[in-house]
Amino acid sequence: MKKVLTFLIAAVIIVATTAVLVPVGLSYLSNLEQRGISIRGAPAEEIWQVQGNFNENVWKDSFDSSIKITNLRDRDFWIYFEYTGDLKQIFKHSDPVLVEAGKTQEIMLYPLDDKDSLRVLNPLDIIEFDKCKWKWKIFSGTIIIKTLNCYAAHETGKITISGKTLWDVFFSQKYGIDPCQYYTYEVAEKENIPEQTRKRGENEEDNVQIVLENSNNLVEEIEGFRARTFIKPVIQVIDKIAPGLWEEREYLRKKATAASHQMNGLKKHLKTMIEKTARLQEKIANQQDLIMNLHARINSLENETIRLNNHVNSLQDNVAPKGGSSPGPSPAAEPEDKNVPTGSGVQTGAATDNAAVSPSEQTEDNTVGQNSSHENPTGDVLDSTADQDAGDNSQDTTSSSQNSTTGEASSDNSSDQSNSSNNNNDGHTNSTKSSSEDS
Amino acid sequence: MKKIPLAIISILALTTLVVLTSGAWFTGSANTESRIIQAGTLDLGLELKEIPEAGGTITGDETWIPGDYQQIMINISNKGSLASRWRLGIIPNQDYSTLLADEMVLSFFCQDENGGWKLIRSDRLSNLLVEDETDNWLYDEDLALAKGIDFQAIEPGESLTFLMEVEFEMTAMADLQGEKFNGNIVLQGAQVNDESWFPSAEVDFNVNGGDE
Repeated sequence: MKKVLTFLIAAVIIVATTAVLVPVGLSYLSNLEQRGISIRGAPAEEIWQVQGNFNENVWKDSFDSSIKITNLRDRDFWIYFEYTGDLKQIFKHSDPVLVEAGKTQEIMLYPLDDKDSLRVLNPLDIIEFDKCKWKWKIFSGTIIIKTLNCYAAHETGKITISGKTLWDVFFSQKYGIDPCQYYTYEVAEKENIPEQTRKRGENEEDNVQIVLENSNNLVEEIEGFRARTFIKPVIQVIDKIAPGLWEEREYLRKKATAASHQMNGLKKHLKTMIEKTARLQEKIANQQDLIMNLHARINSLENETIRLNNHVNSLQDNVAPKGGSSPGPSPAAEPEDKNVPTGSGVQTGAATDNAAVSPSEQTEDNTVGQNSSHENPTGDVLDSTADQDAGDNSQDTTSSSQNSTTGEASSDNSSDQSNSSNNNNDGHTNSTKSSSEDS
Repeated sequence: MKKIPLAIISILALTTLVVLTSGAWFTGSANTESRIIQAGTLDLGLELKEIPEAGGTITGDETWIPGDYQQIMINISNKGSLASRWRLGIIPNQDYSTLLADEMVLSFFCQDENGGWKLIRSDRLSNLLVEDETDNWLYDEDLALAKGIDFQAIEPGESLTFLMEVEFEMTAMADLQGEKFNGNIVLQGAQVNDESWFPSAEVDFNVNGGDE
């Protein structure tokens, strides 16, 4: 029995050992053979480590972005950058940067070069809008750092750069210009921004709010602002960016200014000429009036002469029957006789004799005189206009004859003048006064 | 004395019973399947071995980044008693990532007369898949014929060595992360002058594009 028992125990042990060890052993061998190929792509955190945040002040001085990238792999890789938002206008599109295996690389972000600067700083914009616009503008965006054909990418947080920093970077450092003096002094006063607001403006986070607060007034101030001290560095910059542009602009400006002055002079001259023309026209009108008056006066004198001749003839006729026959005066001597009589006797006689003259004769004589006065204006106006001095002389003569004429003659003359003036042109009432003024 | 033979018989019987019950001896090793053809067996073995000394940027379980590649030695051995034809291919599982398969490049080399490596074919993984509608074997008789290579059937006890290079292309981008490809490298064997193919061995071929 003991042997049977021993046999059974041995059998159980053998079976148990076989049942346990054989599958385990075979499974191990099977796993070895079925290991196969297993490929697992690396997540970003196993490729690199990105440290640091963009610091505007550090970047302004050294273009160091304050961002460091550590290569966690055992082979080198290249990194490259993509900019979003306004940062596209600020940073130069940089070449890929090599990060060696296991090493840390500081990232430098260079601003746009001379050629690219036109994208962000157009010289014309500088001229037109100047730095006021820049100081308060906030440029923001993100930087996407990529490697391995964008297999791994890292996007930074929002990066903001103030316009003042850009101004310093683009002009102060790039072109050796110190904008501090005119920038802080001139602009601050021109913008008329409260001191507290300006102080707050030093903090980047407040800039956006400040821009909103001052946006309404700032637009007007920018449009009305004419920088004085600003223009000098701008010229320097423009000469470097676009040589000749400023000179050409200045040349054209000078030309335009000269043309403008010339135009103003011409306008003044034209105005003076118009005024002179008006005065001449007025003088011409006065001279015409004077000529009319002279013709009327001549007619009246002729009538008077005829009337005196008639009176003399009637007197001679009256004398001849009383004093016997005597040869009468020759008609040629009548004008000389007309000037001879003096004193009121002749005038008195004339007055009485004048009434004796038949109305038909008076009418006939006046008609002759009036006709002549009608004919003369058309022909003599041009003469009197052409020769003003002659008119003046005749006027003097007229006035002297008027002075020598008295009593009824002057009253007749005035009536004749009024008739002739009524028959002729308008405005003779005034022209009489003006003619006396002219004389 | 009569009990001793009885005990021996009992032990053999139990051992046989245990082995057959566990099924480990014949079916548990690398999915190999032996077929008895005529008076012998077809039994092909497949062994993959990493050879970092020959080149490559990846060793062990390192994670891959675009541009990494790995060289793997493939050893095919005939453990059966009959000469065997063979073919090697990759069969994907369902719902694999074609995006990822497009970024993996496989190159297959054979040994030349001078002991160097001769490129047989190099293509994207997506073009080297054996699927229902496609029959793109990594290496088979047709390919050898097209390439002018003298295809060798493996004699019993002999083995052939090939080199396969797997590359994660530089064009791979971040959108590959989270993508997966799962499949098997499959070795099939057939008796000379027989059109019937039998699976001989297979190993996993898995690619993970990375964590999202």
